[in-house]
Amino acid sequence: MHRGKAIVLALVGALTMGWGCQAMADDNAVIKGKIVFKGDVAKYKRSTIKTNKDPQCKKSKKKIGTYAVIFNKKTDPITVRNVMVYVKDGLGDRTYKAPDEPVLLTQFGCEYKPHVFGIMAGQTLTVKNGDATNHNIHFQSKVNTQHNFTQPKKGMTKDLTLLKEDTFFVKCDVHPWMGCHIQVFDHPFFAVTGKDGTFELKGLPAGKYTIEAFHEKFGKMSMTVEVASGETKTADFTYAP
Amino acid sequence: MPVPEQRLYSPNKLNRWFAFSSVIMTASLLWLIEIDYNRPWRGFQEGYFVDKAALAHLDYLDAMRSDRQQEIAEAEQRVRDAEELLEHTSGAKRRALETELVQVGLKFNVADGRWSRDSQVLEVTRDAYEKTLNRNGADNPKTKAANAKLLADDEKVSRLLAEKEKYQDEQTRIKGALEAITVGVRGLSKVVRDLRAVAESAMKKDREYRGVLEAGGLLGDLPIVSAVINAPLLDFLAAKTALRHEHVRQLVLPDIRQRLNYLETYTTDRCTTCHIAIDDPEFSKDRLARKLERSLPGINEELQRRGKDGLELPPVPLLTGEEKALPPGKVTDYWDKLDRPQQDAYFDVLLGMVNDYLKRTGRNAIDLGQPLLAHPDLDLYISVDSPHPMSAMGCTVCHEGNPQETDFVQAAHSAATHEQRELWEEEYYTSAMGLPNVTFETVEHFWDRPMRLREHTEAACAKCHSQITDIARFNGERRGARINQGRFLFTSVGCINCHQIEELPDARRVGPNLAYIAAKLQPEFVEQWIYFPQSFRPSTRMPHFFLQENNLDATGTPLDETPELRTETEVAAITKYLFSVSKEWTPIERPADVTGDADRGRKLFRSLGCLACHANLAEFGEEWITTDLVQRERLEEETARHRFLGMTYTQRVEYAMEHFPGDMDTFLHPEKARFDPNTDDNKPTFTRFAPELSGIGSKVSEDWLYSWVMEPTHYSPDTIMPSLRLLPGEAADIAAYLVTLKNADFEAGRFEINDERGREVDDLLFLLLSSQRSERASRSIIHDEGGELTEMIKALLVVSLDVEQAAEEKKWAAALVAPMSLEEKKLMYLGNKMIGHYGCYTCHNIYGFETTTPVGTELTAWAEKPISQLDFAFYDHAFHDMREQREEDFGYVYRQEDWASELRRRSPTDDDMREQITHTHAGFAKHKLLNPRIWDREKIKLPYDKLKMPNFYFTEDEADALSTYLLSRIPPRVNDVLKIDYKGGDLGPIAKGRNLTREFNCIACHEIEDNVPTIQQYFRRSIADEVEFDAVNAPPSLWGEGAKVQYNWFHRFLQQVEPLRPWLQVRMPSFNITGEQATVLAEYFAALSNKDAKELAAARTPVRAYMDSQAAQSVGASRNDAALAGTDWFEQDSLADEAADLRRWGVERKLIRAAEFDQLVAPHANVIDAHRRLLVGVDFMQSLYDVAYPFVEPPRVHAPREQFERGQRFFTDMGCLQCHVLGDMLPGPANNTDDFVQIYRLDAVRGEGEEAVATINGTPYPVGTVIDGLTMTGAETVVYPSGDVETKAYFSGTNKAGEDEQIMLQAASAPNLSLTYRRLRRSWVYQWMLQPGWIQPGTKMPQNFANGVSPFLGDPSYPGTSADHIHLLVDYLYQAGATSERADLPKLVIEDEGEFDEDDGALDDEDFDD
Repeated sequence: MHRGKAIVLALVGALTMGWGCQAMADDNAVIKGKIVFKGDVAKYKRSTIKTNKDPQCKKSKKKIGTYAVIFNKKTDPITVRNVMVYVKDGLGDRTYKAPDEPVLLTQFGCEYKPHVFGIMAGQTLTVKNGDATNHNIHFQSKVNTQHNFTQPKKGMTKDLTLLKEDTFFVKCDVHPWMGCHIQVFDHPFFAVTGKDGTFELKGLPAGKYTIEAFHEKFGKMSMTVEVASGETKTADFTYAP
Repeated sequence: MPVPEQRLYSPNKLNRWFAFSSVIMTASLLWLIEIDYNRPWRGFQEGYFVDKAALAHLDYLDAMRSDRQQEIAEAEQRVRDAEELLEHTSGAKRRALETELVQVGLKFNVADGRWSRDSQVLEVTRDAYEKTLNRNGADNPKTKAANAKLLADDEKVSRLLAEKEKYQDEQTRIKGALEAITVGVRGLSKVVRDLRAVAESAMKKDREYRGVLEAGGLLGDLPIVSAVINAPLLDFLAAKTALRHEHVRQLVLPDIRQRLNYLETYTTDRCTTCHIAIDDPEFSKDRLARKLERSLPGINEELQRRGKDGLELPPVPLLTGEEKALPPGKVTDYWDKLDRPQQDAYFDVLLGMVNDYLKRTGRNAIDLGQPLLAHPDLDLYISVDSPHPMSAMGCTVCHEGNPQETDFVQAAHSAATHEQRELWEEEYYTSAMGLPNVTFETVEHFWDRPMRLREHTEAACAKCHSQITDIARFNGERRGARINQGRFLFTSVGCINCHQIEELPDARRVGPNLAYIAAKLQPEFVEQWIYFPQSFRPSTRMPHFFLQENNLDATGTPLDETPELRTETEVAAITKYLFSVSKEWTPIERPADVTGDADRGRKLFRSLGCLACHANLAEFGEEWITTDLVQRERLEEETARHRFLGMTYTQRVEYAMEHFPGDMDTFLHPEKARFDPNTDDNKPTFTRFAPELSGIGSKVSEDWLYSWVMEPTHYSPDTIMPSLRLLPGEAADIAAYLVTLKNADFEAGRFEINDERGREVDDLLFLLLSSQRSERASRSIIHDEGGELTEMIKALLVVSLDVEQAAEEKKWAAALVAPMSLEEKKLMYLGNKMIGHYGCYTCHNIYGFETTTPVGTELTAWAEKPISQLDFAFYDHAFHDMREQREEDFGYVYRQEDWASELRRRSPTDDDMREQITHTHAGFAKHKLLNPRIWDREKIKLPYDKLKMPNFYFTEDEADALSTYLLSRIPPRVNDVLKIDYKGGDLGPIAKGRNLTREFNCIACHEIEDNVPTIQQYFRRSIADEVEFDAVNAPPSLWGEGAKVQYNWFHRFLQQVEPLRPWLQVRMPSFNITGEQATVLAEYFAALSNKDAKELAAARTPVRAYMDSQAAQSVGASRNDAALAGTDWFEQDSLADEAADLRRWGVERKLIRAAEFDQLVAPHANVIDAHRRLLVGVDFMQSLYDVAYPFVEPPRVHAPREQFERGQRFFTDMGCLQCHVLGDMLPGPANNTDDFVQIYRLDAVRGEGEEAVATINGTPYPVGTVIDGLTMTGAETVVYPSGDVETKAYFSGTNKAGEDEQIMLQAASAPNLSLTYRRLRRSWVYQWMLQPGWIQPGTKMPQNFANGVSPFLGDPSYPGTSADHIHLLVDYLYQAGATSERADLPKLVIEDEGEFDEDDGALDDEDFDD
């Protein structure tokens, strides 16, 4: 009886491996789409933030606005920026190695750039101060270590590694308007929408995936998409609060 | 004389009689022996030996497993290989070293001999010199010669010593080198020795026990010995310690005293006769499970050897919550993650398999159940190294019962349920003994202290821990929660006001002051409230006197036919009295221009911290109840909301009480109320510490509320409600908000005195008066014929002992009574008597009762009362029979549907309860607490003879807690050596402090020990529009506070709060606290820090010692191995307890996250790293907390000016001023030094736009006011998505140059550093610079010196090391504070907002519509 089980297991194992190899050879499916907004745009008007607390922030001669909701009003339909779209489920037991190149988070003009970004677990995050003022970088992480350190001088950098999947907010207690969202993944299939409100998840193996979109104001949405090898599918999300 | 032939008896007959009786006697002797021999306890002991033998056998099988044998063989091979390799690689070197060692040793011996000889010679020379010197003086040539000789000898000895030491060092070096070569082999040999030892000891034990195990016995290894040593009449031969010897085991306990009528004597516990394995750790359930599971492979091999089928591994249970199967055969690795039924089920499966094996191999099956299990808590009790060792404490000190009995029933075992009792009766005196021996009832009847039920065992803690609150936790688990909770309830709900208990210090009156009741409430409200408090607020702690089972019409008796009419009349009379004697009281007047705004008030209410003590369902009810319905009943969110909206006020409160944990639960079941802001499925705590406020507007007026929140002691001097130092505007806003919270369900109404009630008044007065007077005299008083009633009322109202004061009162009383009608007078007199009867005055301050003694029985030694003095009414022993026979009266214990429907609220039902009424103290207390009138059932009494203890509608948990506390009210009867000494050490201050922090509810805002502050449930996790608190803007945690602050400052601060963190919305209130209480708190925090430091030291010292020893051993190992030496400390069995303690501490104090230690989740390297970081953190915190109390501050530093200025520059360059203030200054750019001389401190801003008011240096300034030539132009409060709040005020004016200028004031966002020098301990500040996040998890303060490195290290302006930099900064702060220096930022003038840059950033937005 034990032997029988072992054979079945071996068979299953062999099949899985075979399938895995097959999939690896053709990891070229694409899911793309856009994040559409339907609703009252005026309700989410942006406003300026007074940065007069710190003279150094003014030196970049630029206005800082609230960042929670930013629409692309020139696109049709109106799309939303800074939406994180990622594969939530469906990759099975596959593991991915984090890329060697670091992700850069800059503090410039008393703003974080980028405002929303993803990073792979184990990948290096380089935090840089581009301002001639003191910033502190305060991670509100839930799973990873809660860093909170200062960079009082311009040009200071610090490398960090986030080890586990997590979603959290980063703030600067000196300049309380500053904030950014970091999401840590154990796979490379994530993207953030920009000026055109679109995203693209490339290099996916064939399979059935749950794709999730996260926006800091409008929250999470998800849908299931099945792609065959080499196929490109469209998945549009619509926020209608 | 001839022998008479004739006898009076017949020898033959007599012989027959003798024969017969000798047979009878022999038989009865045998019967006697048989009975004496076959006591049930022998069976248990025999069972224990069989179990022991089986376990030894399982160990043996395990040790004989082929893979283990293989392991030994492999280890031996490794040793041989290593020796060979050693010989091959460094054999020559080793031999050379050994030879060298011998040679050096010889040289050393020679040198040592020379040195020791010559040093003796030196002594002689020195003696000679001294003598010469004394005799001849220093200048004598003889002396000089002797001196020269001494010097020469001395030099020689030194030389010899140096030579000796040289060889000694040489030896050490060679030994070290040899050791380095052979270290590997020796380590491997030790492994082999250890492995062999395990197997050998298993074999030995198995041999020892074999005879017991094998069924039939005689074939085994000398079972005859066992039979002989346990045989009747022979068993005295055996030594007490003989293996398998059955005998009565007893503990003689000289320190545990027992009272036998007039004699107090030591206690002898014989419990271990049956509970023989109680101290045997092998018999704890988890270890048994592990052993059984581990033995399965060995069993299978054995079966295989015997050519039989193997056993199948048992099915694997699933982890709760996770659909994750556990590895077969390793389930017990996850034992703690299984719940109790899963554990039991798995255990039974394992036991079944092992028994299957035992039976198949002709052995006795084993049982492994009670009474043969070990105590479930061996770490804390029983075992030798626990705090409560069995040899000193015994068993009955906690469990009670009859210590000397070895019979189950007579030992006074107590059944937890009726079913259990029936089962026991069946087992122990019907079938086992064959005849009805002793019943449980007779035991209860004759034995005062039957065993305690598990829920009341904690009552015994108070015998030694007389303070009770010193019991808190052990091994990370809460202990003594019940008795602690009982004690707290006893004082906080007001039991103590009626019932004195010596140990409890003078308690304050828990009810509000009623001296000015007319200024606060309407009589309509008061009558309804007294009659049925829950009709207004179901969550109230005000107890219920009326509508109880002995004063409902449905239960009326011939002596009290219409109890409802009676009690209504009484309530009307009480109200009449209260309002008549109510004194004039004027609320605090509100300034004419201040008007309240409910919206602002709501925000203030939510943000100031009111919610820590007051729940408010008007604010959070919808969110809480809807979420709970969704989670609990799986409703759609819309449906749930609809359900909520359909609920009445009362239903909402009742829902909250039923489904949300209360304050009690946070103590009894911390897991229920544990609030983790990172998950969604948390239940809110529905606190009843202070009144729930969602109906308050239906009770009191806005003016009264204004006055109350402004200064609570103005109305009620004893109140626990603190002052929040509100500004008039803030108080007006809050009052305006609170008054909008209405309870639509409540209908106030009066019990008008109509004809019927008027007659009742007369009847009641007659009843009261005629008990001491004749009928005629009583009638005369009632009709006030001779003005007697008037005089009696007047007399009641004169209370002062002071003559002048009394005269005043007399006048006042006369004026008060004069206009009253006879009806009113009667009512007033009756009211006074009723207040006295029911004891209202014990909890409330009521005029006329200032010196009256409490109504309740004193309970100091309540549990000592003989059981015969407790009146169980008609509930006799055969209660269950009675329930069947007289169903109409006794068929229920609680809740009867046809009683007044109101009674149904919150009172338990028979279905909820294990309604077993036993004639024990516990049974009496618990049922009285749950239904205070139960012992009046079916009694016919006069109204004022009836039981009158009010109903608090306690939950079962609360009743158990209070019963536990009451059961502990008994003379301890333990000798002083066992009692906790509170005088020295940390425990006394900690016990006192814990009481006080609960009394003042400090724990609702601050993390002090392991509490989860109620206020944390209002933290917003995500970014929401309305953020009141978040983790960084919350009240600070007080972990390590004792090591942080200076004693003098802290003591003063508690009595006179100064705002330290003005940016926090939540406000530290000013408590009405005495100097003595402040001392208690200061000592408490100091003691806590000391305790933490000691506990951390105890855990980390052996760990560090282990690591050091490993590091020493790894000399010569590769660099990689050397770095890892000792990092496996947490996997060592010998350090398991320490590792568990440190991990728990690290997780609780948020140094590290629990998941990082989880071997299931994290890779091994990460687990090692997590432990490494943990240890570093613990080292740091231990040194931080390790401060002797009372603290001595180091003397102040007075640095030279130059250094001071360098410190100031460093302070500025580090950016400290971006958040902090130093001096009466503002952070940020707003301050101007030259143009506008004043220095302002912005405290708060209220309102917006034109209505904005800025409070500066404590004074409010609306828009448009001019101060020092500056016009206030506006103010604002900005809430950022991060939850941070900024408060700003704008001013404009003309500067010296005649230019218009605008400046901005901003409230600080970090403490004013000018306080540091007198507030904080200097060494703490230094360490704070290094690791703020460890000291105060979640703090905004960033780490400025990451890894101890200064950002300006190497900067030519700041020479020195990083540590020098920190000192520079700290010295500067202390000196600047002490000399009232201040630090300024460069001036900043407000400019116009700039334009957007067009760049590629995500935020340059063309759609920006500002």
